[in-house]
Amino acid sequence: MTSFTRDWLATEAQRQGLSLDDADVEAIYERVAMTKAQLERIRPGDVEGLEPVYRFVPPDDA
Amino acid sequence: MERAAPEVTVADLCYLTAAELGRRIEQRTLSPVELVTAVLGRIGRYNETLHSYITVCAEQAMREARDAEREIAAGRRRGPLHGVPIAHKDIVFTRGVRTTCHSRTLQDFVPDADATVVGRLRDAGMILIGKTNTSEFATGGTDLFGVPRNPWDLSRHTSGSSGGSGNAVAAGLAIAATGSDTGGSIRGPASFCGVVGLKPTYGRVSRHGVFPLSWSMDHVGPLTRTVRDCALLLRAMAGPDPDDPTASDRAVPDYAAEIGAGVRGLKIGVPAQYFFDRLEPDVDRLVRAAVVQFEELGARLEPVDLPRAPDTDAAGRILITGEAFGVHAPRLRRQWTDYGRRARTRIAGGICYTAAEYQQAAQIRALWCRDLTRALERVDAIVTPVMPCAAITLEADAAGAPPDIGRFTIPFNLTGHPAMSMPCGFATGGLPVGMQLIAKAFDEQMLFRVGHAYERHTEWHTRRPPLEAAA
Repeated sequence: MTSFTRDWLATEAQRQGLSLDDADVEAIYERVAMTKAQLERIRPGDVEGLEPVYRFVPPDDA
Repeated sequence: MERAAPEVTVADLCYLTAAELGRRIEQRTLSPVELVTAVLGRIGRYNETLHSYITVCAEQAMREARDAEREIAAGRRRGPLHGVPIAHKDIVFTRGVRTTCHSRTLQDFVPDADATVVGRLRDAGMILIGKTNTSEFATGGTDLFGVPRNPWDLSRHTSGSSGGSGNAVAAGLAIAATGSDTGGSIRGPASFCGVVGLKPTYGRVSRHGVFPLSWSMDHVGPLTRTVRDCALLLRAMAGPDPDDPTASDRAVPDYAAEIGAGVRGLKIGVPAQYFFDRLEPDVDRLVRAAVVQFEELGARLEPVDLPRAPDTDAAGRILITGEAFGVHAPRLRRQWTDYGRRARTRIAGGICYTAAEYQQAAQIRALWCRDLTRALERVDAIVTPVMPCAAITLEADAAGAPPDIGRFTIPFNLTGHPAMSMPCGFATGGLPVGMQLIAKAFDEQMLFRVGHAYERHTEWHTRRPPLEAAA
């Protein structure tokens, strides 16, 4: 979250071969920053029960 | 003196339901040629204003209408939809007919095969009348072929991305249409335009040949003027497909068979949180009135607890954006400036999310899916608003519609549960408002049963937008 800046976005886009102009950077940044902030606020606390029903048992412990 | 039968105008014909048109065609009191001519005439009159269609298939439609007429006359009627025209959203591949996705990058693309859903509806005898307007790749703007306008108020938006399908059905420029729904793109236009729109269960309708946006969130479904028509269309569209590994092998029921069973004794869930927050007062009033109507019709209302619903909007947007970038990355690299700004910036947002964030979104999805599935074990259907507001203005959309405007629809793309929008009244100023019905996975029959019961006791679906007056 903290590393997401307009500069990071422009550099990453260039690295991925996308030719963003300043308005593109601004449009993407605004939308993504808002969504990341929203996600940060809702980290789920109760993840029990989401695991698959099988367990991997390393061969040495079997 | 014998009284003359009331004259059936072109508009009257175009506003009949698919079920009624199919009946008249079967009884030979209406010919498919007459019907297609009427719909094409209406398209010719209003398409420049409404921007419903990107491509109109006039010659092909007339040819198919003559074929249908001959087949039916020869006693080879295929079913209740034979001879009835259908419009397909322009991200749905149609053999020999341009499929643009409203994008400069595909503006001359002519598929050499039909999408599975196109083939199914063709097999049911439906006549392809044209390709409806969509936002670019079902996510961007509408710069190339014009903005679909809302027939109830031409200064208003239809919502996207199946806006051309929504306004065509509402304005009598189509009898029925297909749409796709990744975060609400069937249900939003249905709500804003005052028609019925169904996002079926994930896997119920094949997506083969429909340009993808997000593999885990995309759904294909019908837009119609009545719930019964929606049931007829779904029956023709649904079923297994070897070309789509996500398509379910479950048998397709006759959805219209028990549509009239009523709601007496059913339990209708009303969410205790989130879905009635931050609504326009008219939307709140009309959806609550519909809830009361269900009770008056004999259903029992049950509050349902869905505390995790507010988490779904961000999770859904991350998943869609990440998956959309997966689809578009090579084309975006090659043709960045050929994409409209809205489409390219929405999709390219996918480079910004980390694997941890995608994983977190997937976890939110799993928890929400568990909650909703449990809630639906206690009730037969849940009622919510579709959109928090009636149709927004074109200016408001151009300035960037609120990013959470689809916050009541996206939760059900995350879980895959079937969800249907249907009209539940009109806001001050004459704009339609939709309510959303949600049922257990693969229980579209329940949606049709509940929706039809409501429709039989209301008249919203019979109203027509004031286009004639505006013309």
